[in-house]
Amino acid sequence: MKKHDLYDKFLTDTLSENEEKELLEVLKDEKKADSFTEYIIETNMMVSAAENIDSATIQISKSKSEIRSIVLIAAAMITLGFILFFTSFKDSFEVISSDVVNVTEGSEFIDKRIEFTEGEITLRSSNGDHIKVKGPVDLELSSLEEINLRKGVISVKLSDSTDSFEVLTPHGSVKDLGTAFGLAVRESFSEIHVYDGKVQVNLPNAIETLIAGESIAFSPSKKFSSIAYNKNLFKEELAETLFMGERELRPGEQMDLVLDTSGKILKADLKLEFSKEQDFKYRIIAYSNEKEVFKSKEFSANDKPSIEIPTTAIKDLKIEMKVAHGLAANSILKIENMSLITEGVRPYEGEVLIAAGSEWKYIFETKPDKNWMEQNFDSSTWLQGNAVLGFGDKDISTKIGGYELRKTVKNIYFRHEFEVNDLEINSLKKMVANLLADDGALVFLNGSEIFRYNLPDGLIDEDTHALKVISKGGEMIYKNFSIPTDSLKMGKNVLSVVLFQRRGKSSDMRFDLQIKAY
Amino acid sequence: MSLSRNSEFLQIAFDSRPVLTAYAYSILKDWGLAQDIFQDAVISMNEKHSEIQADSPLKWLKSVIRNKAIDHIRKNERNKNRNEQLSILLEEKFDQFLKNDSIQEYKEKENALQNCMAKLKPESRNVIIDFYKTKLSCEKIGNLYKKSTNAIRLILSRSRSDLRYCVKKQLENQP
Repeated sequence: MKKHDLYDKFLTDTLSENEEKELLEVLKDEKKADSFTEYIIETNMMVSAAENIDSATIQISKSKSEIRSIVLIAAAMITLGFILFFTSFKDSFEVISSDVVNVTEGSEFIDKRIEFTEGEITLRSSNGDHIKVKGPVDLELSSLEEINLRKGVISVKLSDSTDSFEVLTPHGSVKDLGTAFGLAVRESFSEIHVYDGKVQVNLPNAIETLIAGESIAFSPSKKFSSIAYNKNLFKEELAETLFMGERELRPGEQMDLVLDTSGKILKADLKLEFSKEQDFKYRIIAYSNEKEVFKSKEFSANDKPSIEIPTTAIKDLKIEMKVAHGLAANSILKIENMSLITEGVRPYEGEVLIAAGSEWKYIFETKPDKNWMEQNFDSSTWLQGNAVLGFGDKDISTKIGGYELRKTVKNIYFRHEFEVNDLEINSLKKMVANLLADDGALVFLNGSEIFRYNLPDGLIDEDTHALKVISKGGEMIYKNFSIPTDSLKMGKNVLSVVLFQRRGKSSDMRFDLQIKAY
Repeated sequence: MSLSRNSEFLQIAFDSRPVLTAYAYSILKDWGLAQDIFQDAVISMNEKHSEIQADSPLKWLKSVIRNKAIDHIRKNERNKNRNEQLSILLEEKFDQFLKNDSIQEYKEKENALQNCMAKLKPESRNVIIDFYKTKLSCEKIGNLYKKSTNAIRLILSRSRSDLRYCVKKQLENQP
């Protein structure tokens, strides 16, 4: 039995022989015996205080002495009232729990900005309000009545005595009219989930009031839109937007959503906005370990599909969008905004080993030594630049070569060194590369080929051509490839890539690559 | 004994009330009875002040409370089989907590607690009373408030922790 449960049972019930022995064993420790006595005194005072507030009647006894006693108690209470009335308290938020480096328990903040990337802290204000904050977060504690959440997730529980509390966000402000809510500031919108009482969301030209059990997403441009209620916004079962922004998907192309197995249902609200109004229909199909686990009905472009997928025992869930009919097979759907909100499942987004847009060493005018892909090859004299690297298109970050040189380029060689220090590589489940390549690519990790794209099987040399031309539109798509996890090493790793043209003298080439470990 | 001396005794009694009633509570396991016994003991003190040695009113009061509490248990056949080892330990501990410093400390804590309790939700206050005073089980309280047993346990532990924090802050901020 827990220590405090044992103490409570001592005060409210009869302890069994074994429980008495257990209690005596605990109390052998002098400090615990002190704490037990304090617990009794504290409980006694707690009940007295609760009774004094909730009981309006005082029993007056017949004895004069008792009356005198009561007068003394009353005098003490009046004195107490004066003390409390004239006591001024320092307004601040105190950190009462923290697992964030450099934010220690007991620290006090007011008119301060808090920023951290990982971990959680709990703040308690002088008013008794609690704010739980989860990194990554950017939060300004302006005053006890107003805070400014620029990024991140908070959970707020106000004390009964707090009359006014407002949270400002980049997308609107939230005025609490009750007691508890969770608030998340995402990139292009904020979402609120009300746990208790009422909350008022204020936008420049719109106001919405929510009550307990309701939730909403809000932004100045799109006003209000309904989202799935999440009673545990702050906890592990965090609602997540898995994909926001703009992305082009070809029919049949897959989006990988790697989820942990703690949840039971993946609830998805898909909001798809297509760049062109077209008459077509599509389905959403989910696969786990190559097996189909979910197939939606047919949706049209104007539908706002909502799907629920059981995730029991699902490890790697892949959602594939398939055009059912009405759209040519080589068309591209431009999805401008797709939010997939999970409930009860927290997506594991993996560890980024090489981020998209990273800096790469490269060479293109001459063929390097044959060991150019090895880990210990010296590429210090190579040029360097950030991805997307290439030529022939406007949106290239690092343009390679001059106009004349480009006409003769057949291959471009890339190298990127990266460190693996705090990853448990033996327990990795998988590694995935997202490759952007126009036209073909041969990819090595630490000197060993790990995959090739748009290239023939067998031996490859500098005269090899890519199998097909990557057309406009297709050259913008990142392709997914699985990488053997045993090719990764602790410490320094080198990823080497050689890019191939379909034909010599092509008008464009481009390259970027991201690697994630799960 | 002058009247002012008697008043001085009464003042000591009321200053030590949080600890002395807790002492009675530890014997009787009944919060309401503990308050009554304390009140009876103070009345006795007032009536018999001339017999009490000037330097030991607290010792006298504690001993009267103990006798009255045990007498009550005997008459009402409640908790007759008190664990002697536990009783001795609590006697020693309460003797320590009845020293001047502790009395002053708990007097201040009691004052602060009264204010903090007012900030607690009425439902939480009621749960505290139901559990510790009325001695209802968490399950029964849960049925009353249409909450789970665990939710009631949580209310109890959170209320205690909130009150502790509030008291600490109030004492720190006292001028």
